[in-house]
Amino acid sequence: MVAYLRYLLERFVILVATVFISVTIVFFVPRLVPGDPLGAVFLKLASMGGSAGAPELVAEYRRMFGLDRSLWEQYVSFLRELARGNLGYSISSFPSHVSDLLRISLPWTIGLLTVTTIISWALGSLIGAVVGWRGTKSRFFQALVPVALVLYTIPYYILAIILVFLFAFLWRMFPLSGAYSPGLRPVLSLDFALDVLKHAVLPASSIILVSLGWWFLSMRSLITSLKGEDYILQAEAKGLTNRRILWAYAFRNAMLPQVTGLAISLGHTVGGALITEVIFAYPGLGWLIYNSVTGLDFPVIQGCVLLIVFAVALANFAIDVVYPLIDPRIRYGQAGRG
Amino acid sequence: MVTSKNRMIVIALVAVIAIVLSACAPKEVIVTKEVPVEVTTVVEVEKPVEVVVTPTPVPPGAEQLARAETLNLALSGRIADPTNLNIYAPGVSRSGTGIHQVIYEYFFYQNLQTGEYIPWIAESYEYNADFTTITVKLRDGVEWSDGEPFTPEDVVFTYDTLLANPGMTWAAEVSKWVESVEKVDDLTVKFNLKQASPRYHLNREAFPGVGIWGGITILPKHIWEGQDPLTFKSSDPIGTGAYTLANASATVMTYERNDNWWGTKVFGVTPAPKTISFQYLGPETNVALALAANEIDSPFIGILSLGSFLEVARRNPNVSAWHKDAPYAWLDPCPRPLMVQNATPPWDKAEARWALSYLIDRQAIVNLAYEGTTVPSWGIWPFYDGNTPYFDAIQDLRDQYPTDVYDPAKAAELFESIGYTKGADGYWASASGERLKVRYLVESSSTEEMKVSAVLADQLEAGGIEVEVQPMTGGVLSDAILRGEYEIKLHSFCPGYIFDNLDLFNGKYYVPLGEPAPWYERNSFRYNNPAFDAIVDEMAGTPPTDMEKTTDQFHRAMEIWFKDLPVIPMVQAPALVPFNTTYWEGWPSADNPWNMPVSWWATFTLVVTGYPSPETGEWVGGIRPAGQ
Repeated sequence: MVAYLRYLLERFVILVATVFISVTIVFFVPRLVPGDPLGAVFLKLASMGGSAGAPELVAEYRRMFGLDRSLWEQYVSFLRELARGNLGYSISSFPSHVSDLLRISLPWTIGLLTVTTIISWALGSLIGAVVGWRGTKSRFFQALVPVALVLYTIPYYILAIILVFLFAFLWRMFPLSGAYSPGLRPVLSLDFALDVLKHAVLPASSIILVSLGWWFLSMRSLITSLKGEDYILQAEAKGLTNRRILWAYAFRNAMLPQVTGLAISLGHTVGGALITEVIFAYPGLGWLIYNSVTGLDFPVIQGCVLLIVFAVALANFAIDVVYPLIDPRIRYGQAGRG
Repeated sequence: MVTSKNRMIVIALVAVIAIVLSACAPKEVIVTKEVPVEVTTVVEVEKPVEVVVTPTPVPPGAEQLARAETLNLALSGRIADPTNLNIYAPGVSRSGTGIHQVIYEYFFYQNLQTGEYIPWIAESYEYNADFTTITVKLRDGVEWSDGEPFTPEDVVFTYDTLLANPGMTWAAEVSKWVESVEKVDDLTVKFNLKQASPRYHLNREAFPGVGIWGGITILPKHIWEGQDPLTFKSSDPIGTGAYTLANASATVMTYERNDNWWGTKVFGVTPAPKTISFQYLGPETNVALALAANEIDSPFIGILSLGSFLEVARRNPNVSAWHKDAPYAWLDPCPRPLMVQNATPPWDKAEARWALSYLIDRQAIVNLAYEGTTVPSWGIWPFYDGNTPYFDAIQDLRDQYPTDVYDPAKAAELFESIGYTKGADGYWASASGERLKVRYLVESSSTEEMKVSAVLADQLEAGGIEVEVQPMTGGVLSDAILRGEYEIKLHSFCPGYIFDNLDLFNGKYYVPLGEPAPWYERNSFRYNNPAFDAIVDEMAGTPPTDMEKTTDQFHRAMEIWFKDLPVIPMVQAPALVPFNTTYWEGWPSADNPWNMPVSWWATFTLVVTGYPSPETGEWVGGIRPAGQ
């Protein structure tokens, strides 16, 4: 037990160090890019058809955002504010706070992507296990392999646009885009929830169909390689049913790498699916990140990357915590680790 | 030791590196930026597909009735923070949220199509003898949407706030022109100007009159007093407009008609749509599908390309644009000349700039890059009827200086006259052997600019100039243009008015190369001619209504401008804005040019409701339900 706790502590320290180093990198790197974040403000004014007073406005902004101070001063002040939990104002969306922008986008990204990741993981793993186990015996299951390959390699946006055209335009079964119907207020009610679900079907389907292939193929290959293990042979010799051997023995062992993959995928969902959001006008984080990068909106870039780094590091930490619990072999190996 | 295994590893490594390198091609940019003076076109030359697929009709019901009372407009971008509707925060898009179209109203609106100056919240204006003050009479009966009356105190408060907070949008321009604003009586305000100007009422960045796109917005004192005007979110904005905010989200803004609107009481007119919603539907394909399926009534400028529009119009006969046939597009007020860096040799010589102009085949650019939706332009002003007297006044100069002509022979003559010779490689070279080369800056997120650059770069290369196309966007591009780090760039010249576009060339905006110019089209090209400046400054002090004086000044200024040709006129700007007449009709069009088809300008409120003709007092326009 003590070994386990020590292991956890070590992993936690790594988590904190990772986040800190990443935050420092993401602070300095965007500032090395040639160009001025206030240029984005200029461009916003340009989109209003020109502005005679722009230079004065920009000078005022430079002062307000502390962009006229030295890089080190800005870094120190950034860390100080971060410690207080203040991510600052967005430069291009001033006076919106970075946390406001994240708060608006995060639920949609997490909601959509977490659910779709889990669904495609579960479906892919289950179907992949069955196909891997049955192998060449069933023609139907064999046919699923090229199908999965095709789905896996189709460019995501093509599939998304096809789905939109068929199901939203031609057959009018689902709405064209958006997270919920225009005019509907986002309150906690059954109506709203159903509306959100209805709007989520197409974006979710496009993501699930494309990611399904990967989980399917990886699970299938894992099961196939496990089939030759000694303990499987012993189980067969003991007279256990095929079904029991598949689910209780092979599947349980093959799940380990799949769980790792799932945790890492979940960590990455925070990055948002940019193309999904563009095609379906889904108000998630991907769009926010993209815009902040092209606009050199430093506070928002820092906030988004911090979020992503934190999520991925947390996911890794979660694997580290969970793994020893589900795989007894790891636990016993603790004594030998540093 | 080179074993077969090592060899295989090396081959595999090389293959992987090759694949990775080939994958590092520039990615396609999908997100569209909101620019009201832009159009995207798709270059497609295939035959149209024969099979016509129409959407399944939706059975009529309660949903249909609601749809028939709703005006749906498609936005070009998402709303970053829907809780922030502070119209003076530079980060808030007034048109992208719909607030300056339906919530706020202005003293006057300029109808550039007809040339009318339309009084709305105000009734009239009058300058004093030396143009240092302007007195505005307000209309009686104007109210805020919460029932409070609109008073001169609101005007005074707004200007006091702008003068005290330089971080507000356009506050700098206000500080430049306005000393103070005072209340004269319950229906009159007086603006005290810092400099004499008979044109102040046309300056949308300092006066509450809408020119192109928008104007200074008067804020309700009883809401904004005591708030920090920069951080106050104004999540439920109160204006004098006929609509109030019903719901705001990152992708949809919904407004509902205010049945207590002052305009109904004063004008006896009610805007027809019960609800107006501004929706972000996603990329061009989604907007096209929605338009074809009658889910939206009109998209913002710059979303639909010509190809998509034609396809939508083929499936849905109720969809049309300004013109029924080519060129389809309405004329946007900001034409597109090619800026030339006057501070960098050899482009500091007029001969070189004229030579460049002769190398450009504008009709080819119109055909290829714009697909025929616009026309070549001899000048940097839009071809509106209101500008005709000026254009006629300089007809002699236009004949003498052919700025829209393609004549490579003449170009060669001019290059030779400044000491360039064409080398064996086909490129012009100076006496010292240096090749003639230009950096061509292009906004990479603008499909229009990217397309033009492809055609123009080819033309210039064929003419013997080496062209280095530099696609950039965001802060990097902005910086490069302002510091003059380019030889050529295509740009919109706003606001497009006769005087204002001339003033862009004023030497008072000249800064040395490397320092940021005041604005992109405000002399980032570093033109400096004191004789020209003198005439333009004279024009600045002449009342715009004195046509005799101003046309004469225009002529004298253009004598110099044409000779120098500091920027090269290219094309008029196309604004392809389709309208769907399934639910709403009465839209402005070439057959019925009563207004401008601008759903992203503050003037849109007049498109929806109509307005009293300044000349006759009769009610003009306003959209109405289809079939009535």
